[in-house]
Amino acid sequence: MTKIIHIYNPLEQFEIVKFIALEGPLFGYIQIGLTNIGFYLLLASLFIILLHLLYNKEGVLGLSNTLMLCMESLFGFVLQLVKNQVGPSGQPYFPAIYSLFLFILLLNLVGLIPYSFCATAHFAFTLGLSSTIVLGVTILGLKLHGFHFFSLFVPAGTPLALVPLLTLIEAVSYVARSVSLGIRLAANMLAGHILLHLFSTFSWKFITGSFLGLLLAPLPLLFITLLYGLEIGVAFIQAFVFVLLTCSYIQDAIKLHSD
Amino acid sequence: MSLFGRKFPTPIVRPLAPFIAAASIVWLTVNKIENSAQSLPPYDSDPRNPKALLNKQLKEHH
Repeated sequence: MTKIIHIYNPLEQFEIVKFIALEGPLFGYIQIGLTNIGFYLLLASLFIILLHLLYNKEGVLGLSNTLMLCMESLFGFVLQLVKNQVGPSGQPYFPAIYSLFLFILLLNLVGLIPYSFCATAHFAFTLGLSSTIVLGVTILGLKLHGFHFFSLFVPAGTPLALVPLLTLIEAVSYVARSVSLGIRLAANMLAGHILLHLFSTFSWKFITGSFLGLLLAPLPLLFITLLYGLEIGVAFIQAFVFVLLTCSYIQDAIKLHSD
Repeated sequence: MSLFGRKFPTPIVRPLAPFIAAASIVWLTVNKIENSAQSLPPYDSDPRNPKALLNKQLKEHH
C-alpha cells in the first residue's frame, strides 16, 4: 500500500498577500495598497517608536527594569560599535545605525513567530535597503571629498602598472557591496525559515505516522527546538553584521584610506 | 532638533541628507522600472499584474 504524504510548499510562507488594495484610473492609474510585507514593516516601525517614546515612563506601559536594562544594553552595544568602527566622526550617524539595527532585529525576530511573516527574507526589501545605504555612502563620500573620493578605488602602495586593473577590480567590488549586503541578510533568513518549515513538516509526519514515531517524538522536537534557538541567534547575528558593514562603509567614505 | 514634542541634542536631518537623497533615487528608479515592466509583454497580461485589465482594454481599444 502506498502512503501519500502531503507537504505544503515551504515557499508559501513568503507569498505577498494584499490586505487592502485601492486602484483606479486616477492620475494615470493609481495603485494604493497594503500588503503583508508593508503591514509588518509598519508594525515594526510603530513598535520601535512607541517603545522608545514610552520606555522611561514606567507607569504608562508598566515596563520592568529588566526590559529597560535590555534596551539600554542594546543602545550601549550599538554606540560602542559605531565608536569602534567609525570613530568620533561617525557619531552623527549613530541614530540612523541604531534605528536600522533595531528595525532589522525586530523584523527578523517577528518573522520567527509561527504563522507570522518575515519581511527580511524578501530580496526586494533587503536589496532596496542595501542599495540605498551604498548609494547614500557614495553621495556622502562625494560630498565630503569631491572627486578625491574615487581614490578609494586605488589601494595605497599599488605599483603604477597595476593601477588600471586594481581600479577596475575595486570598482566592481564596490558596486557588488550593494548586492552582497542585501543578499546576505535575505538568504540567511530565507534558508533558516525554509529549514524550519521542512523539519517541522517532516517531524509532524514522523510523529503522527506510526506508534514508533510517537514514542520517539521527543527527538525531532528537541532538534526543532535547537534549530529554533539557532535561528534566534542568526536573527541577532544578521542584524549585527548588517549594521557592522554599514558602519564600515561609512568609515570608508569618511576616512577614505583610514590614514 | 525637536521631534514628537521632545528636543534631541543630536542632529538628525543634516547627517542623513545623503541617505535621504539615495532613498529617493532608489525609489524613483524602482518605480520607473516597475511601471515600464507592467506594460511590457509577457507581464502586461499576467494575472498578477494589477494593470492587466487596463492593458487589455487599451489593446482592444487600439
